[in-house]
Amino acid sequence: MSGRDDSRRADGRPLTVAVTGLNATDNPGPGVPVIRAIRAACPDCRIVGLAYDALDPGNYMDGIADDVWLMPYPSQGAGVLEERLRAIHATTPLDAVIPTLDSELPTYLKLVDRLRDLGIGTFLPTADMLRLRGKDRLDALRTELGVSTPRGVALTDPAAIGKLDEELDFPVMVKGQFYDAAIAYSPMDVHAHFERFRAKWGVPVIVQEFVAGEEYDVVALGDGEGGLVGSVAMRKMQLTDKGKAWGGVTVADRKLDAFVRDTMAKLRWRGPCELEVMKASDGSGLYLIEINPRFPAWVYLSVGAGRNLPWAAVQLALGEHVAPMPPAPAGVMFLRHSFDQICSLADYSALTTLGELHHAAASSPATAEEVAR
Amino acid sequence: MYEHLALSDNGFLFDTRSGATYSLSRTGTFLLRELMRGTHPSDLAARLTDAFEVDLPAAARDCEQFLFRVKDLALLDEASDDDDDDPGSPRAAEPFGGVR
Repeated sequence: MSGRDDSRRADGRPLTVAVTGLNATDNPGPGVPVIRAIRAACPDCRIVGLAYDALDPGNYMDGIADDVWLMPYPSQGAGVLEERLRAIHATTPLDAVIPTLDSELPTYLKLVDRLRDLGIGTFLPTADMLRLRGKDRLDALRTELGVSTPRGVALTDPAAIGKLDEELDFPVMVKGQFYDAAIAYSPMDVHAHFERFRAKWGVPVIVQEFVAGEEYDVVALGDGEGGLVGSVAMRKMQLTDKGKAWGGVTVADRKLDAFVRDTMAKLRWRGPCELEVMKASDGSGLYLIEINPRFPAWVYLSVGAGRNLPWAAVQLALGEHVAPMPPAPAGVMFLRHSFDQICSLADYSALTTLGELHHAAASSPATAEEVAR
Repeated sequence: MYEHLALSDNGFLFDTRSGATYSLSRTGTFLLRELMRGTHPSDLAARLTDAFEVDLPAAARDCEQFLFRVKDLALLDEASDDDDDDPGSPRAAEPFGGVR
């Protein structure tokens, strides 16, 4: 942080940042860790949580959001989102907004210019970048941009499965376009997975050559001009049954660092992302297997590693310059945990009936009698 | 060539490049530390007999197995990787507070 007071705006009010994704289940949204990271750099910032559900635990956690507003789902469109953001901004002027969920990005991207006109900064990938990172486009990244990815094809018609072995070596990974993946050792396996994923996620279903090796996950922040603001690479140490990280440790591998720098340069990525990278056990190198266009839920590890990427994203959203960060040190470990949060029924009542909650107004665990008064 | 390995006094080994961790026996810790100090693999058995009550043939067998295991775990396979990379990239890893 610079010598000036980062937590105050020119008019004396606190720097106010809105963050989405406050769900905190065993497959948590990145909102709570993003807010913790911002708080770590700017304790006096005002944080506005934008929640999709009154039961999102991040709405009630101590020291997370100062204000919480219920938001319309992205499927309701950019107009509805803009209307809601304008209403919030009229009450609590926002300086920046950090969307953290894949599903809401396309809607926020439509509003970037209007938000800028309102004085609300964002630092997001462009719509073109977002299209580029689609699972069905990974093979194009290899052929068109020279990014190292496993060879793959996007299937829309099961009739093409019979010819897969002309293009790819088995085994292969079969992936739903949004979620799910399974290994297939034969075209018959591919058929079975194709039908399952098509029914669940639609087409295309993506088939990629299987890369045996170790997976590394990298949280990165690109400047949009080919530069890397910072990155932290992590190896998962324990997983949930959904394969999500429930513990991990930072690694320091210069080849991986170079791969990340090179990939971000080729993509000219703007904003945060998570790169999933396989290090092939046959020594053939590193392969990009997926790009998630937002901070991952384990992003607080970047604070532990001394590379506060969410705060850097806020600074960039405010139009400030952020110097590139040196590579992160190895051996910083995190373990996720869950606990039972005691919540005020009055707070829950406020969110469900009014759609907003203001912790600054002070609340304590309330009983049904207090709510009824 | 072992800069990517962090070994604590109690035998906890962290490979900073891969993120893998291992628990080494007392003799395994001794042997790896010797390698990290620059002892040539062919001298390991003699060092082992100096430090532990073991005869040279048994020590030689144990060292051979140890080196095989180290290679099997790919702990040293990429030992020269850093040489051709960006020298300006600081990678100092001291996960045990400087214990090496």
